[in-house]
Amino acid sequence: MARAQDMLDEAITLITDAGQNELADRLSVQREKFFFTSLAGVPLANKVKKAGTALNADGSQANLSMVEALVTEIEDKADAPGTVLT
Amino acid sequence: MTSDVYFMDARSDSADTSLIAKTVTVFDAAGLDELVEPGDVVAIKLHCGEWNSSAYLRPVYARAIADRVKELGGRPFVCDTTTLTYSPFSTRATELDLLQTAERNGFSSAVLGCPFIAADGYVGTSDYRVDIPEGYLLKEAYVAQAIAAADVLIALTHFKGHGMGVIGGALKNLGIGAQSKRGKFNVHMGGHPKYGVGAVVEFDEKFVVDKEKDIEWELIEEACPIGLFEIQEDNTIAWDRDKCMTCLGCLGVMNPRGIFQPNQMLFDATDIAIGDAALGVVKTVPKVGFVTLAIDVSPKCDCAGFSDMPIVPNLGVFASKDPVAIDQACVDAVTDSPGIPGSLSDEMGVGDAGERKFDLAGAAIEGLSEQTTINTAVVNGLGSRNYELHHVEPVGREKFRFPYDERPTRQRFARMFEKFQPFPFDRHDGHGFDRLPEVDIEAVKPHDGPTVGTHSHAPYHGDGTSHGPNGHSAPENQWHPGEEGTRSHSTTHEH
Repeated sequence: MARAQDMLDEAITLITDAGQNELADRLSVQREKFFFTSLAGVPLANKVKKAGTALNADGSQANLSMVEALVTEIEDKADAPGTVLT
Repeated sequence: MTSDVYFMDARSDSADTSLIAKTVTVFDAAGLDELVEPGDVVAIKLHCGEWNSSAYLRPVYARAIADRVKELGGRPFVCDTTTLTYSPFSTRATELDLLQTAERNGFSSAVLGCPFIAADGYVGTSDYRVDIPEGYLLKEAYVAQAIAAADVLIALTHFKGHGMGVIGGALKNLGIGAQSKRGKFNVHMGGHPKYGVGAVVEFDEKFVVDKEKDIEWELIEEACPIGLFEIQEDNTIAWDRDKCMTCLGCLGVMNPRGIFQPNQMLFDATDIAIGDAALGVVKTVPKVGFVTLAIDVSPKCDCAGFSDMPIVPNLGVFASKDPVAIDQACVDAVTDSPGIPGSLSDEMGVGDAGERKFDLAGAAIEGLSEQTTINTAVVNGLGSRNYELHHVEPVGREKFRFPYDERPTRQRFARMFEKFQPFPFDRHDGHGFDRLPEVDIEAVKPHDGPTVGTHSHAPYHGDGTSHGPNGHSAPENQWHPGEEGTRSHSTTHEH
């Protein structure tokens, strides 16, 4: 399994455990995309994992907003062509 | 076998420790000056940067080498080569594209002091075929004609990461950069029965193009220079994969959409081929030397249309006659260095000193190695991973004075200032200018802002418009100190 997918899976579990199923589902949709099968998605997967950890420990609005922002950023970037390959 | 690599770090506090001076100093220290004989045509091969990339080497480094070559009696030119159509919107794939991109990036004869040329011709088919029976994978290479014809090649390399090559060093400057376009097809495994894109890539034949949601769907057909993709009536894609040249122009279109699955074997084989093709260049040119600057070490190469934050601090300048040793020395230096916080090395979790950086921060996909090309070039006999690093001392600032006029100040300016005196001695009792005799200097030094108020007739309020007597007329609501409350100062970054 790709490194980014690993991190994303951990994030999805953390966010689900925090009761945010809708956000977790939105991430699950992205999982098989090239963004996460390549290395391109590692930084954002790592960030959403950290944000998910924070949300899991403290379900504050600030932590929830952080996860929501990262999910939106992932949705924006995961389909963007132009990932550097050559 | 142990090769010699000469090195100066990136710190600078004088003319002879500037990176430009160090580039010339290590050039000489490594004995590259001895390669150039009077009358020799000297190719200085570099990467001129892509349209909108910004981390490529400043042209002045090439100028410094070109000037040194001229001092030695050689006839230099600076060059790069045309590329494959790596993306749907290439910017260096023809000579015309290359020269216009290079000129925008500062590479012109006026700057370089010698011509800048496309070494493989207009389309990229001007080349010289060389047999490389020693090659691990390749058995021939196609060297750009102007490089193959030169008496001396100086590979002036910007060391950085690379999505496919993992590292962009001296070997890649030869193994990709000094190959013609035809040679680049060879190196990228075009038509290879096992490793080429047409052979190896997993293609989703059932993928249905959603022409309503995918606003760039036409690129699926338009990314291929020979039109091998065709969208069918049912919006599935037909791909004549047997004819694929592996130009790689479609990968950035197909992979993100899930039409292709990324394939590690293609990348690994190309990285091996780079090491072989580099050997082809060295076999072609009689005398070859290498100067590499490990500065602005961006993770994704100069061939991307952007340059990310460097992953490590500037490291310094290297020179050698062994491209393998110099690349290994650069890789080791990057490994030994701490990463830059907030850079991709940090985000990838390889930001600590001692960690290999490029396997994750350079490569586009997992499983690639920053050693593949280097190791291949050991196997094919091009050079050695073992090296002795020689720390070179500065050679004195006298050598790096402004060459157009080396006279000291009085000799240069006394007569000129007598005729065109720039200092108005006749004003303000000989003090020249209208200034206060004394101010409270400490009042403008506090880090939390000045301790004196804004001048009541300040003509410029940071709004792009001058309101003073030499600018536009003052607006009716002009604010003056002492009238607090008439204008809000509240911002997110108020200080």
